[in-house]
Amino acid sequence: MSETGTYVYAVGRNIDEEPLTGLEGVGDAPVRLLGHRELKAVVSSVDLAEFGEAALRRNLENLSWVEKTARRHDEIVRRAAAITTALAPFRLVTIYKSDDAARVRLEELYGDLVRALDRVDRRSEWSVKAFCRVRPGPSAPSAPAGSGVAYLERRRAEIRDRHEAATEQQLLADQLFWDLVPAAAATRRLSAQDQRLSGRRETMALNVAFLVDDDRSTDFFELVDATRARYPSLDVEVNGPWPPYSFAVLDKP
Amino acid sequence: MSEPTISTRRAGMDRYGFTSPAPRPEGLADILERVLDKGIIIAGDIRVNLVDVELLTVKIRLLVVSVDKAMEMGIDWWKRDPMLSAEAADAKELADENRELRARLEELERDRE
Repeated sequence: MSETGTYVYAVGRNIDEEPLTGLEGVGDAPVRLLGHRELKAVVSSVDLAEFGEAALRRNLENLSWVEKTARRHDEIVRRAAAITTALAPFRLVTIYKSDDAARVRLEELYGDLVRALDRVDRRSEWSVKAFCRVRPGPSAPSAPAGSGVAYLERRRAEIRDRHEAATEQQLLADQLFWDLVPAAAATRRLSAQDQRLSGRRETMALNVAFLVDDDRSTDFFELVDATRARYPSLDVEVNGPWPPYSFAVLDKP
Repeated sequence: MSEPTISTRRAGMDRYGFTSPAPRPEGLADILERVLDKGIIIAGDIRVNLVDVELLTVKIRLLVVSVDKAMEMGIDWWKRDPMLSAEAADAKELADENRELRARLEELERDRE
């Protein structure tokens, strides 16, 4: 490896190195820990020929590189999260010139990082998405062909129906969200994923991240199950537990 | 209607559902949503222009379901898009080079005649 940098995946407390040995990070270098006070940063060395500024600009435009790197980053974060109660994942491609440079940054942010870790300690993230089930639209009575006025009226009615249905689904999705809030320690509403990205034809009416206490995760899951039965027009998808990506954030200065 | 429950999904797994060294493949959409948009966002020494990253995210959001899924559907245009694929960039260079060489060869042959 020529010139190298230090890639930071996450910072946590009480992480043992042993369960992480043998893991390969992005760019296939071994994952290791970098200690600073009681914090441990999960890092690996990266070749700047691949992860330097110019290279990154190029690589981030290459979808297969991004996918490979994102999956590896996520895997390392999950594995680290699995062996501690408090872990704050870092954003993809946070890289320092050396271990020492990374330590300096940890010291600068020490107080903020500790507060971020306190917020997510013993908690995990759950994703809840609700999709509008496709309903067979009310078939408008067929107007006599050739009648322009009838056609326009029919079109107007269809558009009105569609708007009303969408508004109704949105209200239901909001209601569903509020039904689940009591079981969570924090929530973050995310924008609906594009249909092409979610891979589903149905419109996404709700995309929320819930931060849930680990010892209440069963309650949360049961509440989701009980709640989804009351919203037959929504298809509710639950995923988790994930490391608290949406909630490990620094206070705004 | 019933999804796998937490108890069945977690049986024999650790906190984040790993049973083996190979985690179960997950949708690229969800992974990118997590690792590009969230987490602790602080500047590293290697400055990545965030605009680039956001552009990329927008591109991915607009364009692709997931690589696997897209390949399944026979969509692989990005492989030929030099903006998105190093392979394509290389291929394009090769094609350009070939064209240049062919032109020079023709020139040489003409000279000999």
